[in-house]
Amino acid sequence: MNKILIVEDILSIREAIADLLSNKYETCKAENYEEAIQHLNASKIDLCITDIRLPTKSGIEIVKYIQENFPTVQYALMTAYNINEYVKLAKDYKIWNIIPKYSFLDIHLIEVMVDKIMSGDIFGIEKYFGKNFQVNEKNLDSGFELVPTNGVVYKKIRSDKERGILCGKISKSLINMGAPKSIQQVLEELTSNAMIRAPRTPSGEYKYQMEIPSHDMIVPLENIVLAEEDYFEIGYGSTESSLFVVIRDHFGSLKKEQILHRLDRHISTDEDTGFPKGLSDSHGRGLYICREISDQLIFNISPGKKTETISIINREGRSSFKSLSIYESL
Amino acid sequence: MFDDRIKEKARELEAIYDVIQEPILLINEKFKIQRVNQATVLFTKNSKFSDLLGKECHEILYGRKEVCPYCPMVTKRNISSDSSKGPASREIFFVQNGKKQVLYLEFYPYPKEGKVWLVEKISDITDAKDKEEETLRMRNLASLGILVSGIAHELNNPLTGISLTIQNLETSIGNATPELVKKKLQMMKNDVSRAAMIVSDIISFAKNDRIKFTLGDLSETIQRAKDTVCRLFPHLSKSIQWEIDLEDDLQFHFHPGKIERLFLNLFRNSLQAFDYKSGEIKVQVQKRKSSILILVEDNAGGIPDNIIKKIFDPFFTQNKSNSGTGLGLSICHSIIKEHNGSITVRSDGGKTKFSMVLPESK
Repeated sequence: MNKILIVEDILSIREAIADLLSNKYETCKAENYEEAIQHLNASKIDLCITDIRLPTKSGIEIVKYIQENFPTVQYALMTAYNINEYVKLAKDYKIWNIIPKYSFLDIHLIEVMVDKIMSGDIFGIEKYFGKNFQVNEKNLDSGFELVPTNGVVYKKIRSDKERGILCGKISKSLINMGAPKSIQQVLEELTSNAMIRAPRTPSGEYKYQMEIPSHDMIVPLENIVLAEEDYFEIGYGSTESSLFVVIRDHFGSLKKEQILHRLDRHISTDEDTGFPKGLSDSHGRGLYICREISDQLIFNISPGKKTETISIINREGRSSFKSLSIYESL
Repeated sequence: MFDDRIKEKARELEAIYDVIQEPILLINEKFKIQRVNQATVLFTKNSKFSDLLGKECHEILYGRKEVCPYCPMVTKRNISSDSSKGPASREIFFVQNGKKQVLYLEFYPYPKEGKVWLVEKISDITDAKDKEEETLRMRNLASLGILVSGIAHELNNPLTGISLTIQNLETSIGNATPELVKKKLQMMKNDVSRAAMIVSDIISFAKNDRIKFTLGDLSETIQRAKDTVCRLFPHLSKSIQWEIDLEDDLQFHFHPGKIERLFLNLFRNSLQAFDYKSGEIKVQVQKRKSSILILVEDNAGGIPDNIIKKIFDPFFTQNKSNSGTGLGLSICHSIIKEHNGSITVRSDGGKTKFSMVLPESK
């Protein structure tokens, strides 16, 4: 049985998480840095979930301690503050998961995160929803069908034309169901990542776009028709509480460090200018925009094999605090 | 020849003083203007030096019939020949042609035949003042923003606690024992008081309700504040020795809620300053003839000189965890003011001592 260490100075949160996880895992609890270190040294911990702001030393210090002394122990963070303020730290300290503490935090989300990290079984949007959630992968090749009401349906994309038509229909339907208009942009960004950036030649060059180094630009080819093996898939669907799109390719070329690097360039401000570094160029704005629009943006990556990006929109219109969710399996 | 050279030197000095854009003048002990530079002539809207010389400075400069009340020749302050103290100075508001100005006056003593004359320098600091006020406003607005977002995020903690506990209870309600339910309820209660504390900080700062004094026992109030703080911060207060030294009869008129908050804030600050270390908080109350002296002292390390002046300012916080609202001590200050009392702070040798005097009102 895996053992989870929960570090949190607020008793009720600590207890609630421990109660939640105690069905499947062995748990132990600490309310500050010192207690956490004791636990880490006393027994074999598999995953440490820690609050960032703690009374004496912070959760970041615990992460540093783990990295230095117990490199096999996994870690995830929580905070009641704005996660964007921690993106730089996340990048610097290789933190892939931060759970936002706020009034409408679904406790289930913590369980999903722990299960994914512990099992290495990270793919699939169905993990975020209940038992009755339907996954439909039967009609990959047929055209658009209606947005499922408690489930997801996947479609295969093989050309720019197919992508344009399907994305248009999906975004129209989702907007009718209450998604913001900008969901179009999320679809555009994520599908162009999967179609144009993911496929590469064995030597690492882009197959469907040209680099023009003299102008620091990358230009996609026009009217792309993907080679047989370069297809990708779009999933879309809804539940009572959410609308979502899933984009998955079988390249797994998106690097998790790259995700944080790109987000950081658009979130953290540059000390000299007071603006984010990414403001002045054209690189990697897509992921940042997707994160801003989505209530949750989840990355699941199996390097060299598969990339799955999930964008979830809350239907209740509560703008939620955004988690940082980047998972990798081997 | 010698005369010519003196005149030459005088012209040179004149040239220097006349390029100075600020009025500079020499006044004798009878407030009569002796010498002025060109800028003074312009300042007084006269055209000739002779219009000014021998006239009374307060009349010519500021249109006052009487000597200016702050004139160092009257107050005798800072005009000893000891120049190390720096000049006497004063900021005044001055309206000229309907235009409001802020002037900064500096007075330098000039000993003359056993008397003291004065050199006065007038600087118009209106623009600088405006800018300063603007920056102050901006800074306050900025801190208000920080304050609001800090509070919002800090509220997230107890709210998340309550929310997760409810979700917990919902799933386990079928097989939960009454003990477990009770334990969970207690946890939610603690979260609620934590949230309430954050909210009441803001409210007690924002609202200025009419104060109602009632006859109360100060020692009860202090005890209650101590208990509340220990309950709210069980870990911070774990290694604190309390020494509460009170006189027997401390019945008098005050606002119990507000005075409790006063002690709450002071105790909380001390606890946070101890930062989990052990130490001692001393409270002493002494009855004076018509007032009550309250001393609250801790040995948590003291307050550095450079910030001690700022601690009563709203939004000022040194709280490491950033969980403070920065309002605690300014709330204390306003509570004491509402009771017509005074509060002072002293810090040395690692100790901080707040002294408060409350008049024993009817």
